[in-house]
Amino acid sequence: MQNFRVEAPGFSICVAGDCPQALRLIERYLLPWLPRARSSHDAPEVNIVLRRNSPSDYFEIDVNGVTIAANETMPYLFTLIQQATDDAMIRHLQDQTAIHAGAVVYRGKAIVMPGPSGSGKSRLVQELLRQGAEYCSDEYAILDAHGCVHPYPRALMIRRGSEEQHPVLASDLHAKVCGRPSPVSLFLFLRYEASSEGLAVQPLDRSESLIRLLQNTPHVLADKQDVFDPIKAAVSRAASYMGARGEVSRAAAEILQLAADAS
Amino acid sequence: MEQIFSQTGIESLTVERLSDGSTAIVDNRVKSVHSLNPSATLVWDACAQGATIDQIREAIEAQSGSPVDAEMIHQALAQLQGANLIESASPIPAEIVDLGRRSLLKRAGAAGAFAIPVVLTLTATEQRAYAFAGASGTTTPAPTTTPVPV
Repeated sequence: MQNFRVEAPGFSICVAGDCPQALRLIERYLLPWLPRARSSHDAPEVNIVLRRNSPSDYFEIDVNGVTIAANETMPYLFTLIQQATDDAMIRHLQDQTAIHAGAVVYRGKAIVMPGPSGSGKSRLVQELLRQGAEYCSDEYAILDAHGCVHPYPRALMIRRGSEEQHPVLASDLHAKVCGRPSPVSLFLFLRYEASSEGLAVQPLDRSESLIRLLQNTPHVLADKQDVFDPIKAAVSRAASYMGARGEVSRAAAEILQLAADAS
Repeated sequence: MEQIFSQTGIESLTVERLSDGSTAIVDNRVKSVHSLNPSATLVWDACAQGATIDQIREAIEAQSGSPVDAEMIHQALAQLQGANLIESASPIPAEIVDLGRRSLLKRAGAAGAFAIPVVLTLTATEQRAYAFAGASGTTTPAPTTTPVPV
């Protein structure tokens, strides 16, 4: 069985499997900015094992000894692996708060667009990249105690004319990946409305923005007191808006204009 | 004797003043979080030492430099009381609050710097539910038909 390790800040992930082709695909797309290793004496915090249900293209997958899928195919399988690594990243954050959000950097400042899965974050991020923004994440904005966003540039999950999501690297989109923490210029709480033309948003009070960010964090405030400070620091410096967005190309152009005005 | 409104539970609250005049308050007893927009913040601040409605209005008018509609203050007090951020001997009469709601929008344009007060509350239970719902997930349904070659 072949394997590779990913060394993440504070933890490591080992992916092993009996299908070299599948392992190559996972290694290409899983947390692509982090260093790889072939072996280590330390036990990984996240141990993923992939078994091919030969001769088909279906796989069984275990995470830390627990089977999370018994008979799945790519690319769905990759979303499960990415989810397991996202969850590990969130568990290992110290003095930082994850916000479920798409995030890009434009003119040195971050635009953060909180929203649940399926709300169109990845599509909007993809379009913002096409229009010149740098990539931070299509899933999590990581806020530090100073209110800056740290990049979490995992593979974007893009739909290609079907419901199924496929991993795509920012570099495959010819986009620049942001490599440093960036202060937030904008929080945008958007919902998709086909009838909207571009962007139709209203400013939010900072305190309301703070509450809405608490509605979009995977951390439980009652269990993790330090969730609050990075959010407070970020909303203190950023403008916040809420509303609807329509067609993605026009919406992205108006978002970048709003960010430029806010800077 | 006029009704006195006072802040309550202040020793259990973490109060964060934000630069736009709004306030975020964490109630450490129950881990709920409140958002007070700038107008609601002014009314809550005016209750710091205990105040009647007239005293609250005078304090806000002195601060904002413009007249303030009493109905706006009733609205703020009702919301603050609902969030357990102020207390008084008896609740604000419902007819006053309802009257305020009916005419708030009409009067909002003439309210000057004192906009419609808004108090939002996120309870610990709600926040926990959002946290679990917002955990990383895929919206792609598991494939049930033709497998995609790796």
